[in-house]
Amino acid sequence: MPRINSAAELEKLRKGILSKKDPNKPSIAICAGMGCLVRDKGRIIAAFEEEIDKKDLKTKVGLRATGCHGFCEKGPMIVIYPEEISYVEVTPKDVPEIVSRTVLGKKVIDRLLYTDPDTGKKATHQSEIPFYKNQMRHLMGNSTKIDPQSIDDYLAVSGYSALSKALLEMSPKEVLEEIKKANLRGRGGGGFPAGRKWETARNAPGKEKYVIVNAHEGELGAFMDRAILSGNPHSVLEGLIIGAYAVGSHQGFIYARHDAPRMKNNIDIAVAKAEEYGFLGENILGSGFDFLVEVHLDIGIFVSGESSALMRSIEGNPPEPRPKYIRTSVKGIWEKPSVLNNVETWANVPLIINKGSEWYTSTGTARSKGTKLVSLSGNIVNTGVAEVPFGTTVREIVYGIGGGIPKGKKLKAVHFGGPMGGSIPESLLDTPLDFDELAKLGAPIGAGSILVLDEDTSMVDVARYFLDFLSNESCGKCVPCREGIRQMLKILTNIREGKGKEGDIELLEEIAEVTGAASLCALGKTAADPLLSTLRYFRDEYETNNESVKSPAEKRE
Amino acid sequence: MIMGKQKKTSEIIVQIDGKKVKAAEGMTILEAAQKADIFIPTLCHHEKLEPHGLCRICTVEVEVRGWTSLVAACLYPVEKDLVVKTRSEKVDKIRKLILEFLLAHAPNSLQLQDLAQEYSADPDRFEKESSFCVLCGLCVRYCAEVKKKNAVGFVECGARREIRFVPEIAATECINCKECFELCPTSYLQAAFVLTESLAFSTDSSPTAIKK
Amino acid sequence: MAAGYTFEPRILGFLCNWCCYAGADLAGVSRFQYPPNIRVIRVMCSGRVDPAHIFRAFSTGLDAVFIGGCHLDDCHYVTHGNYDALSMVYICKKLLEHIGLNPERLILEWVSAGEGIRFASIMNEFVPKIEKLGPLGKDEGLDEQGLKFKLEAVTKLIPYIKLVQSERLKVPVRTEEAYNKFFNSEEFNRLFDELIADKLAESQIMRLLRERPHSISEISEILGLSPHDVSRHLHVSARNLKAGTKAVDNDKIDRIINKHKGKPNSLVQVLLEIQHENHWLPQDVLDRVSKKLDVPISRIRQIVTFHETFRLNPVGSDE
Repeated sequence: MPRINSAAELEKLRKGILSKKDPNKPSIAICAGMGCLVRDKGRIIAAFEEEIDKKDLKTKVGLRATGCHGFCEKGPMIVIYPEEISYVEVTPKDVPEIVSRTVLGKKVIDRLLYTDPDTGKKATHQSEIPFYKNQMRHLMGNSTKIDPQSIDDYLAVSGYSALSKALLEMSPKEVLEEIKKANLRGRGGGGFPAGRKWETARNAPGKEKYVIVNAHEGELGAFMDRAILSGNPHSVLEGLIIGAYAVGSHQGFIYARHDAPRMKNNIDIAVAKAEEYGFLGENILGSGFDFLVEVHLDIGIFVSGESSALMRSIEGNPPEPRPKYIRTSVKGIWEKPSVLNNVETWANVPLIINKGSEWYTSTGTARSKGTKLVSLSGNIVNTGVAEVPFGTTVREIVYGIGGGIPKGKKLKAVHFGGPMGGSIPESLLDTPLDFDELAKLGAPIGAGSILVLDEDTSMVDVARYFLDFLSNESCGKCVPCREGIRQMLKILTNIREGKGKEGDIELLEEIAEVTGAASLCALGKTAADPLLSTLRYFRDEYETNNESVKSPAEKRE
Repeated sequence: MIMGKQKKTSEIIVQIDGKKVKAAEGMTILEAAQKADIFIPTLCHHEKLEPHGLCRICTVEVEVRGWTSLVAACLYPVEKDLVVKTRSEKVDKIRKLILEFLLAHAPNSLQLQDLAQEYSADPDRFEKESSFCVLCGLCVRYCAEVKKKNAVGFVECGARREIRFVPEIAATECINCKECFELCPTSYLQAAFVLTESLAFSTDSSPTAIKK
Repeated sequence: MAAGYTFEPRILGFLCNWCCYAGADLAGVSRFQYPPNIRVIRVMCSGRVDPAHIFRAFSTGLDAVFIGGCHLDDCHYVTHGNYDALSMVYICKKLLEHIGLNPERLILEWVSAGEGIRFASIMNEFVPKIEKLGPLGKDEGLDEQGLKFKLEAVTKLIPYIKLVQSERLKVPVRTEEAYNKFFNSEEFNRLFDELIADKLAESQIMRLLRERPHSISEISEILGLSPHDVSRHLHVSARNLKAGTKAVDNDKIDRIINKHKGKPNSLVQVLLEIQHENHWLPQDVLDRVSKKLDVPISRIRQIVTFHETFRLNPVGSDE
């Protein structure tokens, strides 16, 4: 494949790919996202390959393993084109019937359709399923159409057109201005305006600058980054290259988990293909801009998702954070200006460049623009990855998309942001999804994990669980974090075992205050946040030594 | 030094506890305070080592450009119009609790006891912890930065973090050195050394000793 | 048992010069009868006695140890050395108990210079008790090899135990009551377990590995520890079960290092790749990486123990 050296060549290639696509040719998109793959172990993909081979349909039926479709609860999922028929909870045994009846016979198999648990209605297309109906899938919408290992699939859905526009029709400053106007805020948990970060790095002294994709996704309950990165890696790559152009960086890093081999494989293939086609390397698209990407793996600890720790790790050191009195966008990796952004943040960039900041800012609230990926888990009917515009209320997400609480239980709390976030009670469910609104309530949105908790949950346990997690996953360098978490955990464990003492709550609050104020990095500073939010809204559970609220497992004892 | 081309480091005036202090660009608050004879307590700081900022005892309150925040004095660089308070209700609260955390590990450390008096820290506030290392890292950093031998290092992370000697290096280097011993605020470093000596140096005369 | 052979306990006594020794002398001069099984060493103060002395006594096969000093608060030295003896004996008793010996084989008594009769009566009680217990280890059911091994492990650890004692196991008030209270408390037990017993286990594991390679299940059986604890000790001390054996050949390592162009900052990536291919990291592999990438071994140790991602021992193999 010869390198593409101009916008014209790119468009020619794209036209060529599109012309080869037969809109009437049947194809099957099988979800190979983490959830479905774990359930099915790749047997459905193998079954389809076998069946298609047997029936000699290799050239007549397309088959692709795609990224996460989003509706993890009902996996394994497949979508059959061109009718876009959606089947849920598919098993290998269903495969021959699917091929003969639906793919060839164009008839729907009723038992494989999604059934609404409340109305009994069946849905033939994904868009009819309540889980999908209430979403706005700007980022995830193409997930069923793309084989992550194929760059042509991405080109077919206008992939890399934003890159072409940015490199060839806009100056780096113009790109920067557009991102600033769009008010793109970091999706990894900080919510910091990406445009401002890029500008700081751009204006910082020095020729060597770095851009980094934080694909660490350590937040408990967050699984949307891997859905995008392993399902549509080119969207992130495109955003990264555009960002590098705006900042003036020629070296990028993708910092990924070491324990997700499939995702790493997809990233490696994407990078290799992008180099082959000329989207990475020297003189990209004939613009004169050079850029290369390196993939780095983490050692598996939560703290290495923290920006300064991540940069230490890329340097080959243990991932220990450093105080950020001088911003990492000024002094990051090897003391050079480094822009670190989350996977989802980068994935938004091509959208903004293609459709413009005006279009982008038409979605969302006053200060939180665009859409947000959320991962629903916990005591909720529909688990999975959803994409909603900012401003959607939490109630709409939990009930409209999530389907409510299973087994007829009542909702007790919704927890955002994992071990660095907080919970809100049922009474605050009409809060809109917004960086600042939720932060005000002590439950910052974090990376977007939404953990739904029902009436049987002990909130003391929730706080204790997150502290327990942090005590092993913090680096242990500074005293307030290491010792603060240690002591808070001890007190909470005592309370949970009924051994709480008078003055415990006040002591917890004091430790939380010091840990929050004096810790070196964000992990320590927010370590006590789940505890503080549960104290804010569920204080009585601490005071009554909560013998009465036990988890279902404890009740059975 | 190239004559005539030496750049004059610019002078910055900061305010520490109401006093105007002349500091040079690139200095930290701690350095500026020491120059003006203003005392800020430290534990993990040493003039021969790069500041690490992990004990957080040197936390001070700063105000600049309308923002107030709590920062580590040993690391925060001075800047124009910086107003520093080395004592305040919040600062004292932080130092008191940090001392109480550490006293649960090393109640007999003289350094900690001195500071504890000043901040009324109660050594019995928390249940006594077994490990009496305060993890100040002075030994690790001294051996890495000054002696450049890296005979002792950190292992593990989070609540399980501790220091350990590297037996292969310690067996040959430490016997004649031990300069880090006097930096240790407790006697844990000594204890860790004799522990390594007894457990890991393959100096026993057992005929089946595996040679390293 | 051979005909006509009766067990005669061999007891070593450390008597303080000012009180107990004088008292024992008085017992002799006054012809108070007591069994002759004790051999006396005169020390200037009971506080002089070191755990090393006690364990050396047991290691040479003596059946019991007696320490005699002045009554509390009557020590002839301003430093009140007899309190030091008191705390030392508490710890030694706990150590004896921990390795399976009867702690009653070690006693500490206060005898003043004029209490000759007291000395004799103490001996008249102590010797028959030890007679009943039998030779060292017999009553406790320990074989000679095992006992020697355990005593050696403790002896090696004594410099460490003394530092721990002086820093962490100090009693702030010098009264008998305070000492009794502390050494019988939960806190003391917990500190002992975490600081001393834990390291004792490690000492024994190291000893075993020095003799020959052992598997985790073997070690666990010999020492009576759970496999989880054994594995934890091995991980933390960054020791391998099979110290010295090469499980990965050098060419493979070099190939991985060269793939990352031998840059020191590729350390984490190199270690991850070796871990991925080999499933564990032998000690000499880490040494080689340290040399080739020119990074200190202490940094490598920190990274590999930072998280359970890295395994320092073969996994799943059943040797």
